Amino acid sequence: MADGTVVRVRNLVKQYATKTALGGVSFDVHAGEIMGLLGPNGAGKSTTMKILTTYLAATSGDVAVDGVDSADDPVKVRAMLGYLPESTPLYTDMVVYDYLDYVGSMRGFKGAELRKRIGDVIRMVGLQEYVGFQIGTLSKGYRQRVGLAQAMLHNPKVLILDEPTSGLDPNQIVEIRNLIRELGKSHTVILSSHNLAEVRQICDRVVIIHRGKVVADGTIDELEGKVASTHRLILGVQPKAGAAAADVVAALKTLDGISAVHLTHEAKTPVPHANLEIEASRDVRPELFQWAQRDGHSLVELRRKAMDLEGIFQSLTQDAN
Amino acid sequence: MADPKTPSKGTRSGKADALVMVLATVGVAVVVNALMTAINLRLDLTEQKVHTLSDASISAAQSLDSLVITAYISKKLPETIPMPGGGKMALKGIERAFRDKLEEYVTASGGKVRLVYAEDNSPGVGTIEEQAEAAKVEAFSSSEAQLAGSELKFARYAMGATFHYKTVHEVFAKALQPGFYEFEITKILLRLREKYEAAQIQKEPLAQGKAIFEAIKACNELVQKKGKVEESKDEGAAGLSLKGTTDPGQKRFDALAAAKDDIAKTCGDIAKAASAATKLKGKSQFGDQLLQSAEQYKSIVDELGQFLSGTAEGAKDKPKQATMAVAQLTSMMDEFYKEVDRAHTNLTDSPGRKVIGFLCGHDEFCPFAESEPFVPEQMAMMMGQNNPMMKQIMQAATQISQSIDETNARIGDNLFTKRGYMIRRVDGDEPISSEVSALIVYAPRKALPDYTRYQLDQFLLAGKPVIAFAQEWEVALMNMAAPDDLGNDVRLDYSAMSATGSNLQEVLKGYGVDLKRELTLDSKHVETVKVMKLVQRGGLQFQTQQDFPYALVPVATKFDHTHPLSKALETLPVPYPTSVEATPELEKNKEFEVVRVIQSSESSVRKAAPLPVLPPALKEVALKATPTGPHTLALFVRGPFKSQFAGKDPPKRPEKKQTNDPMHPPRDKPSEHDQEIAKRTFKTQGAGKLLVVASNLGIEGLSRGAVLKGFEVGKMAQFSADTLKDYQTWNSNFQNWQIRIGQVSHLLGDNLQFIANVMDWATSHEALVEIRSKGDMRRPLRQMEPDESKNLRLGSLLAGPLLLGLAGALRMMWRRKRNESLKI
Amino acid sequence: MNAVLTLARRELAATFDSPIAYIAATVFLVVTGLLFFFGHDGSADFFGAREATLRPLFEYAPWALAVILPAVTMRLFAEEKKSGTLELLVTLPVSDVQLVLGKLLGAVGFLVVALLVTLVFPIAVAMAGNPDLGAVAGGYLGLLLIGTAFLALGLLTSTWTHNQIVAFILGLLLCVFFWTATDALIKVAFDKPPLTLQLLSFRTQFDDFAKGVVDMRNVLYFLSVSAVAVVGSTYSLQSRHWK
Repeated sequence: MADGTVVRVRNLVKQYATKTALGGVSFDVHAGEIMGLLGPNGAGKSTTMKILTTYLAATSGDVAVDGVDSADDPVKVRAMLGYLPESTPLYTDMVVYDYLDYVGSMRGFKGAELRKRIGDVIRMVGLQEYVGFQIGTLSKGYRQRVGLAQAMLHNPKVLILDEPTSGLDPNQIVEIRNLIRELGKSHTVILSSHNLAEVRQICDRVVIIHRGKVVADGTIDELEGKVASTHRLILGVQPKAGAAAADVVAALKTLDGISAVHLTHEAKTPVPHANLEIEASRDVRPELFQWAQRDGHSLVELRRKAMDLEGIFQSLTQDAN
Repeated sequence: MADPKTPSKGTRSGKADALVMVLATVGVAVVVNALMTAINLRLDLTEQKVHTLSDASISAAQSLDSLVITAYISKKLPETIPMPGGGKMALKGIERAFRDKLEEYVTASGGKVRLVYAEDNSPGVGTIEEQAEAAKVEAFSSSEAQLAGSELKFARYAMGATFHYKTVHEVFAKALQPGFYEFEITKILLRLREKYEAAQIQKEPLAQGKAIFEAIKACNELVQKKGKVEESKDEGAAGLSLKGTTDPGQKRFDALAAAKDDIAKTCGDIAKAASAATKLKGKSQFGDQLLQSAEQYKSIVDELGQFLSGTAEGAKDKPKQATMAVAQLTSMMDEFYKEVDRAHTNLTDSPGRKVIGFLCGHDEFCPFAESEPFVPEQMAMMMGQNNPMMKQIMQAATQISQSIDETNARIGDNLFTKRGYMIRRVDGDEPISSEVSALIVYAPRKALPDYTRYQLDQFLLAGKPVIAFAQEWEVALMNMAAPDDLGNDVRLDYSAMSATGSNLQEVLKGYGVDLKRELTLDSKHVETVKVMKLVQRGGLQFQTQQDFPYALVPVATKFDHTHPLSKALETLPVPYPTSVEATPELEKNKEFEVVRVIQSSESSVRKAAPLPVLPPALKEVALKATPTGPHTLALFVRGPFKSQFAGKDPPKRPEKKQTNDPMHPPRDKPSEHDQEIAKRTFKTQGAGKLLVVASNLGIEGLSRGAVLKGFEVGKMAQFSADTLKDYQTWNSNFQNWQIRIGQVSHLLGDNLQFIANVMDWATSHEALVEIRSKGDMRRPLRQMEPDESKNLRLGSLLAGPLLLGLAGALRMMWRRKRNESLKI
Repeated sequence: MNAVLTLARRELAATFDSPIAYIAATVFLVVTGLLFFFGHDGSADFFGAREATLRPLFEYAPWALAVILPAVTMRLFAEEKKSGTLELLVTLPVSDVQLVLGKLLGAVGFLVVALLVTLVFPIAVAMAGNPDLGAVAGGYLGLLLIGTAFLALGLLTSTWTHNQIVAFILGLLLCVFFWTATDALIKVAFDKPPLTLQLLSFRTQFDDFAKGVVDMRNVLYFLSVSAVAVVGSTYSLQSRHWK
């Protein structure tokens, strides 16, 4: 497409008998980008991906991949996609090589080309040692690699990965993330996750879905800018001698720009101090330094609180309202 | 709640669409299947095309324009029905098979044949079973009794059909063997055609016969109706009634006497019809039979009339006796009416039917009662008057003679008459009737005298088929011993082989057929004999039966597949065969066609008899001999035979013994038949057909002469110790016959089939021969030692699972190895 | 079409990688073999009947097939549904009908193997006598067709559930129903069953094959049943779209 849009999603609605899973989702994915589909569990990420992959049909709305409407020609759309479903379902009794051979044949490859492609993806995901292994005997991380390999086998236009790191141990998560980043260099990737950190690490762009609706769509920075209207700070204060934590809280509340102060807990060792959370309308860090100096308190910690997903959702949905 | 703005498309087809699609598929499937039912596209993969109508059947169906078949098929057939002898016969799918077969004929006829199914309870016709029985379709019953009202009854079923073609009619009485449907139906169709054509020629005699029958029927119905007395009513009222003295007999007498003019008028038609039947008389056996039974019936009617009008001799003043006589006569009339009915049925059935003659009188297989009485009654009366012992022996011998007659008659009835063959006894001391169209000489054990040979010779030269079965040896295997001088009791251990007194070898030589006297043995391809043994166990005697493979029952394996008789044969067990060859001169003569119909296997050998009889010893002989087979067991010769009596005076007909038997009065004047015979001229040469089978095929003749050996009326006048011994011998002879038949009875099925083929072929129904062998294309297993069959069974049961297991293990090993070697 | 063959090949391999194929085939062999050689319910055993025929085999084999084939088809879709592999399978660039056909073809492959192994029986009979090979061929063609119909029915029930046992039981009921219960039901329900209804029974349709007669009507019937089951399976697969 001229504008580089590879996947176009418009007004996607999925209506189940008793509930609405998607209530009109629209977004675009551009060529070469890694798009993160973000949202809490049950937000509609998987449903969206299942519709994208034509596993499910939407109640209404359109999905087009490279200009092909998935309702009109699902088979053609499928041919352009590589898909790794959530929890990586594979034929556990098959050997890695046979499995890839089977998927490749089903996708219409054969002979030398098929063998070459299998070799390529196996090297790409680093499964050289395991081609003769039964999938069921592999660790979760390696299974995930097999899943990625089958999704990559036909060098698809778009790679759709549903929660690719869920259920993995931290080391495996790092490996798989690196792998996805590598893949992202040469492919358009749509990836779903409920982990903001992961998305920030891997993705160029994020679409946030909440309760079946898109609540945000943009780069991480844009998003963070969007939600930056509220600043949250973590503050550790050692009150000056004779002052209590409550005094500190009261004093802080009087400062300009600070809307709320919560005492999260008081630490006794090694340095006794009070941990506070502050909500402010602007970045008040310089004022806080000055205030501490002025009032004789010692600052032991001052940092911006990392944006957690729930927080973003809250703020975003509040914004939306 | 689907969004109304975006109608479903593509994979988004909804639930309703899917349902419609599935239903539509079902609908299309149903319609296509329904349309295809009209198309009869069948591929019969069986080697003999067993399930396809043969050309003969198709052309038979096409030759009968406006044939109507009425099928009587009971609604709910039972699962099984009991069979004679204890087994059960499954009827699964039989109804469909019968319908299918009938419909195949309809299709094959191209619209000429119409098929009607009898419907249940159409007004006024009763149930299907009742309709069937009225149409002479045989009813049969299931093994389970059913409650009908308050009574337990065996339900009756019908499965058959009637065939009407113009004026003639045939019945398929009991259609329970799908393998023979085509055979039976085609037989009926061929028969209908013949019958119709012959009936056209014999129109007049048939009409006259019918007139007689109708007259008798009317007379009988009238008498039976008038003479019917409702007894029960009368008895109930007897106590009160003033006329209580009138007994039923008196009432019947009164009723009949009152109607005596009516009866005289109606029954008078019988005499008129009989005297008008000039075309019927002396023309055929059946016409004469009908006339004879009509005559008998008429005489009873006359007698009845005399009693009714009071003119009967001696009855005038004895009313009591008159009423009794009337009662007796009316019931006799009913009996004789059945006789008349049977004779009439035979007459209407006779046109076009070909008669097969069985030569009798030489201890051969002759399925008829003897024509001569065992001992003339008057003589029997005189005998033993002075010796009660002799009287007893005499009675016992008479009894044996009677059972022989009954057995033979029953065999003839069951094997031939009931299967639709018309067979006739041919006595060698009379000229052969011209009605006989084929002659069977079935294993004579006495020499045929010159006069008989002369008759045979002329019959053959007249172009009619002669079939000779030869039995040169009598094999007694574990038979009852004849009593010895020590007065030993009955034992079952007599085994011997003795030559019969047959002169068939000499007779056949004259026609270029060399009947060998050596027996044909086989070491490999043999069937078993069942031998009865008496076993002593714990002081008790048991009879046990054992199967022995028997070298003297070779299984023939080579058949001439160009000859209709052996076209479809694969194997045939032939009990106690010798062999038969064409003489070299005949072989060389190009005018003759010589066919080796049946031949024994390569492993067979010819051995001069007598041989050891017991199975192990005989097997030894067979194994030691170098195989010389195959040997011909049945030979067919066709060609211009020369008379053996050329240039000689024809032998004189033997004088008939004067028997003074009141039941068989000598003929007073020559019949038309005799006149016809008198006109016959001697033939010196003629094209003939001769089939010689070198075995009796397990059917040993049961004859008075062979059993009651040495019986002479004269000897009976005086008692001697020998007579008693003779009597014991007769007894064991009779039992030995049963034993010998029993020993090979399990082979009878195959052999009877062959005999039936021979009879159809002889009456030129060659098409039927083919269809029969098709219908029951039996494929017997070869003879195997018990161990061999056990191993084969075990082997094939284990082979599959072993094969699977092996393949699975190999596959697993291969996979493991391959997976290990997988590299990128 | 290539995808159908690929899928069939994989299914066949998968069937023979699991013990169930060997168990099912062995049960089939042993049951038909025992019935064939020893007879049942008083019918004469093979060597007792002394007849070189395979008719009894063709009478018993459909029974055994009706029982073992659902055990082979039960996993085809139920297992994929349960393990989630169905999602990958249906998102391959292959239509749903092709998937159903591929699976069916793979199962037919198993049937062919099972039938091939039973050829030891005709071979044994040929060693003991001279059977009518045409009739044997007809019988085997019939078994292939009736087996395919059983497989299609089993496949259909496998698309209904993710529980293999449930799929098996439903398949078994359906197969046995079509093989025999129609007969019994029809007999109970009708005094004189209409011929069209009798024709619904597999047994009625199979009779001719057992005799060695290939009637196009019977062939068409079994193919129709299979086709309807395939269409049903396809729509059953697509039911995920509207559930």
